[in-house]
Amino acid sequence: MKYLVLILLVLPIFSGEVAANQNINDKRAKFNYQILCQGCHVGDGRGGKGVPNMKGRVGYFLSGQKGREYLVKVPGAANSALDNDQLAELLNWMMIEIGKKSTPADFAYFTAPEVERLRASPLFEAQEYRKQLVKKLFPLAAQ
Amino acid sequence: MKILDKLFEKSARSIAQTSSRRGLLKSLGAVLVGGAAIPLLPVARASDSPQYPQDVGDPSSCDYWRYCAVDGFLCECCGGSYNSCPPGTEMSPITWIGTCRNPVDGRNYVISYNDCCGKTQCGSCLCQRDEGDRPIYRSDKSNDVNWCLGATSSVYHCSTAIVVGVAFEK
Repeated sequence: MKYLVLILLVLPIFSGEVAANQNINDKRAKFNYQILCQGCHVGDGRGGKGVPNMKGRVGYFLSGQKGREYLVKVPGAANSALDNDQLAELLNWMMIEIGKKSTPADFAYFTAPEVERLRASPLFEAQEYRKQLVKKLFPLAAQ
Repeated sequence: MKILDKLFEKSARSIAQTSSRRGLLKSLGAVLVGGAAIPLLPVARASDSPQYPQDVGDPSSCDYWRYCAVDGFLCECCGGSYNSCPPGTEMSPITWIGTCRNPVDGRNYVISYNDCCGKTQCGSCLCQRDEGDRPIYRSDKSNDVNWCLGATSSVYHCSTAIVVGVAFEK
C-alpha cells in the first residue's frame, strides 16, 4: 500500500514531462517554425488557401525514400535561412509535433549531413512534384 | 483451485494483519491532498513560459511595441483592436511574422501581423516601421506582400499584431 501511494504521488510529475529527445532543442525548433514556417503553414500546421495541411499528415511522407527527400527539397525547407543542423532539428521537431500520429514512432531522424546533401538539389516545381509523389506513395488516398 | 483459495486467504489475512481498517481512508486522503499540492511545487511552474506579456503603451499609436514590423493601417483605429479584426472583415490565416522587444521585460516576442481583409483600405493610423522587413526575394520575411492572399477576399483593410510566443534567445 505504501508503494502504491508513492507511485500515485510521483506519477503526475513524470506524465507532464514530454519525452524530449536530446538532439532537439524544443524552444529553438518551435521559434524557427514560428519565424520561418508559421506565416503560411499556420501555428498548428493546418495550412490554408493553397497551403498544404501538414497537421497529422506530414509524417506520411516518411513512408518512402522519395517522400522523405521531398521534405528537405521542398523550397520552404531547402531555401530556408537555417544551417543544416537547425534545419534537421526543425524537420525532426515538425515530424513529432505536427506530424503527430502520421509519423512512425521509430522513424529515422534527419541528420545534418543528410539535409546538406538533399538541399543541394532543391525542387523548382514543388506543387506538381508533390502531386505526382502523393499519387505514387498513396495510390488509394483521396488527395 | 486449492492453491488459489490458499493464496487469497493468505493475502487477505496478511492485509488484515498489517493494515488498520481506516488505513485506506488515510492513504486515499494523502493521495488526494498530495496530488492536489503537486501543481503548487516549483517544478511545474518553472516550465510555464509567459505567453501574455506585461503591456505598456497605447495600441492606437504607431510607437506601441508590438508594431515594430508593421506596414499598414492599425486595426485599433479601424473598429477592431490590436488582436481582432473590425466587424465585416475576415482575418487572413496566412501572415507576416516577426519579433518585437517588449520594453517592460526586455524580452523579444514573436508577433503575427494578421491582416484583416474584405473591405477597402481603412485609411486611419497608417503605421510603417518595417523593422526586420526583407526584400521581396525573401517573401516570407517581406511585409510588402499582400497577406490577404490567404483570405477569401484579397482586399486589404488593416493589420493586427498578435503575440504568438516568446523568441528563442541564443
